[in-house]
Amino acid sequence: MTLSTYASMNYALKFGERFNVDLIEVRGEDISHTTIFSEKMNLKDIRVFRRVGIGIRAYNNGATGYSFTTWLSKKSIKVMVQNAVKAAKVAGSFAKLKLKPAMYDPIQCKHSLNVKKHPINVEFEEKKEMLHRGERSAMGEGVDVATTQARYGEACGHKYFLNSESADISREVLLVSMGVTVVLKRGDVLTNARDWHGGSLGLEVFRDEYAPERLGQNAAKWAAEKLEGKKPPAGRFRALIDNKLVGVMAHESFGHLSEYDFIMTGGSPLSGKLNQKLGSEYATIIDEGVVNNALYPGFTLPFDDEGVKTRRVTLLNQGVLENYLHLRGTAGAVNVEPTGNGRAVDFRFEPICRMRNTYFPPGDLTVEEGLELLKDGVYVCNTSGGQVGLDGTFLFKAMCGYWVEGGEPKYAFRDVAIRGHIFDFLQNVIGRCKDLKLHSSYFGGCGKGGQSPLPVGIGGPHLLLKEATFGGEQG
Amino acid sequence: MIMIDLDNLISLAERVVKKAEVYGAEEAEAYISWTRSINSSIQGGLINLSEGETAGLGVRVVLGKRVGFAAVSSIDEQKVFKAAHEAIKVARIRPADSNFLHLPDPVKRSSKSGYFDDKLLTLTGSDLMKKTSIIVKEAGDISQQITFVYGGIGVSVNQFAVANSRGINIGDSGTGIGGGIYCKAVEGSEERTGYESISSRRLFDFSGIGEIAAKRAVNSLGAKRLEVTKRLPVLFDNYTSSIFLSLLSYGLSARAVQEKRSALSDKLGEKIAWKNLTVIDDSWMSDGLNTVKYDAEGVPTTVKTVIEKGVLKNYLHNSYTALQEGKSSTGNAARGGEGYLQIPGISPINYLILPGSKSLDDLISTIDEGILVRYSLMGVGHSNFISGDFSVVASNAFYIKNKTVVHPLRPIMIAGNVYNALKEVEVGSDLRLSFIGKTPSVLVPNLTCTP
Repeated sequence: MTLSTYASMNYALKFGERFNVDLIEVRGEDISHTTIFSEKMNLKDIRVFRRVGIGIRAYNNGATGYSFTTWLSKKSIKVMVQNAVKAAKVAGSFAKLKLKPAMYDPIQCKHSLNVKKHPINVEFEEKKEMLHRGERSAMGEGVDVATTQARYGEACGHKYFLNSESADISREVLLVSMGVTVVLKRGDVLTNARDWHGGSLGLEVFRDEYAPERLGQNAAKWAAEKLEGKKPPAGRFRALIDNKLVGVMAHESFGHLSEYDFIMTGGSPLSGKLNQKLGSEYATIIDEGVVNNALYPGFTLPFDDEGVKTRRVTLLNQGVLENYLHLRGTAGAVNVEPTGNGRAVDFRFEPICRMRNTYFPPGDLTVEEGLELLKDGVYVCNTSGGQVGLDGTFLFKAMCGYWVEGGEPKYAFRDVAIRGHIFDFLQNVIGRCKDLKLHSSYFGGCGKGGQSPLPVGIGGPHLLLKEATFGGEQG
Repeated sequence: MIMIDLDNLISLAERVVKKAEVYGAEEAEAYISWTRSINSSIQGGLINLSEGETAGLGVRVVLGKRVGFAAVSSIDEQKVFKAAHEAIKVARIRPADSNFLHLPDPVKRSSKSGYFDDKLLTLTGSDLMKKTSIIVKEAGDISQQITFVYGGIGVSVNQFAVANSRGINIGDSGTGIGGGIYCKAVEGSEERTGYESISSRRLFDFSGIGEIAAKRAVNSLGAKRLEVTKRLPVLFDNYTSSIFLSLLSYGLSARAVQEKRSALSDKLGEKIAWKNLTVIDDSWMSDGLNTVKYDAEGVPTTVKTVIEKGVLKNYLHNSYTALQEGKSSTGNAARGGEGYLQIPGISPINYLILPGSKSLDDLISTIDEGILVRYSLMGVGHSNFISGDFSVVASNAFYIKNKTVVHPLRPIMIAGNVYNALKEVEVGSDLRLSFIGKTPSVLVPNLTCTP
């Protein structure tokens, strides 16, 4: 005999409250996933799976113990609760750094997202057609096209949270995304490019600038420019960085360094730098759970996986480091307000410190003005991978890039990489454009501590840099 | 840790198959896996201790030439039957695969399970936490230069069952324990890392691995820059030599061969490697970390020679590729991590490279100028698996001059091609057990090394 997800969580909480521990939290989820992959207009793969399970965390003496199960019977739930309590007691006796759950007002709430065209109400055929529309437009006249690919992913369902302080939260989980990739071949030269969009949104988002046709056209245009592309100059130049690449840089090379677990244990280069000026007056970085979806359609997270309402956190304010990102347990330990950054990829894991939407806020320039101010330099867009060091060093391969002279793009590069140190980068920001855009992908979330892919929102406005280092991969 | 009854899993798999047939499937297969694990870690003073179980089902159904698949992280009867229904819906909308013949038939041949250690079932979170704190402490005690230590130990027991409508109904169980530790050593502005990990099917005492990892970090301090880019002999130790097998696996997959994506297509019976190189896929080695009696489609596993004295002898098959050639599967169907979420692909079970006669030191003493690469490589996954071209970063590399290891190097990039390298490799005698199998050190006479 098994229980429903919510009933089994209540059973776990009631049973857990019999034990003498400081706090009990129970999480549950029931989320269905669908992915569709098409190549050269052929449906290659369709996958559906459903993840259902619950987990319980006990706090004791400054440490936590965690346990989880997919088997929602009373017997199995009791074993799970006992294991979490035992684990908390053991962990408490070993912990050198003590956690303390910050005080907060327990929330009772049922949260759902307001979207027009919910993917669960849309037939498979229409989703398939979206991919084919994207591929058809990526194919264009078919000149030099080696292959086209398109993929769609969705996660729909609910996450639940209960704790022994009377929090009781049910929230809708929704993430949809689609992308189109095109590979071109001319002689021995192969180039590829991809455009995508997604977020906690209905399928109505895939229109206008995010219509499948537009995604396909963009990918085709970028890949074609790269076919004609030249070798990039190596060295230091003025730079304009587009929305997607700025977003990845803010997340990967700054955001992670501000996560408090890393501040507490790993010697992040941001440790001990609170209230210090690390960047220019234009270097402002926000991490936020709920961004205005009407203006910036993207990822939405109203509550984290510790039952904390997600707060807007200004990490960097005009160059000054003002805040770190916290777990409830680290916020309490250093006596700051919890930020709502405790997140777990699914019920098999304890929440760890993670970002939500991380971005530079919009500035006052148009992109045209950004190009004019760039005058002579490098314009880089999007990314196809990179590496970041925990010391603040980074290297990102841009997906495409251009040499600009007198504010006019002159020619494209075949491949270009930007590298350097995050502090140097922040000090060189000399302008932000107005065009903030945020995105989230079903396929490419964030990875940390074995928990991947966690959905996050990335993006930003175009950012103008006085100087940045460019080069090939070994630049 | 509490076990679940394997026979119950097998009978549940059979009921799902029956149900799928009732729903309209012409053929059906159910794969169920169950894992219970305890994991402990200490990250610079922060403790993590968790214990739990996951179970799940993946169901494959056939309608004509259309194959549908759906999965659920549950073994609750209602939910798994619903997944069977979903799989049929998926099959209806999938395009037909004209090459698909049928699911595997039961195969009568003997095969072997790996060692199952009951002692691992008695370990508690407290036991693991104590062991973890010992290795973390010993690492920190090595030197004041050690500024950060992250260590952990995990134990797991797993079972899986497969049933299909052609009469397969089998299962197998396994145990595993693993410990790993990562240290950072700092001197002035120089920062180096050291790492050690050990995995085993049976109870293992991890004490000492913290000390090993810490010494590796400290001994990597004082690194110098390789002066210029040059082609040099590179000696991969028995940790890093697995890169060659990782890349080779792609080419050995019969699926890649049949779809002409493999550099080893049409090379059966040809010499592709050094004359003394023999590689076996040994699915039955008792201590092998992937050893299993049946593969992910319920076909008994086998022991097969892949390369014998440099000559390519066998590709690796699952039932799909074997049926294309009218052969029987080699028992290499695999579903990867969280297996129930995946459709069976193709993977080796445990590679065994037959050892040579020279130790690591013997091999070093054959090198006038070269590089010793140890412990870990970054970027293997970014290689070109079709062509075999790789470009990887070695964080713990050492410079060899006049048959002696002279000093540590700053991270270097090493580039080459696996199929060219295999023709010239020489293998050592020092087999090490890992998730790829058992591999010795490997010397490649000529690779591009970039500072």
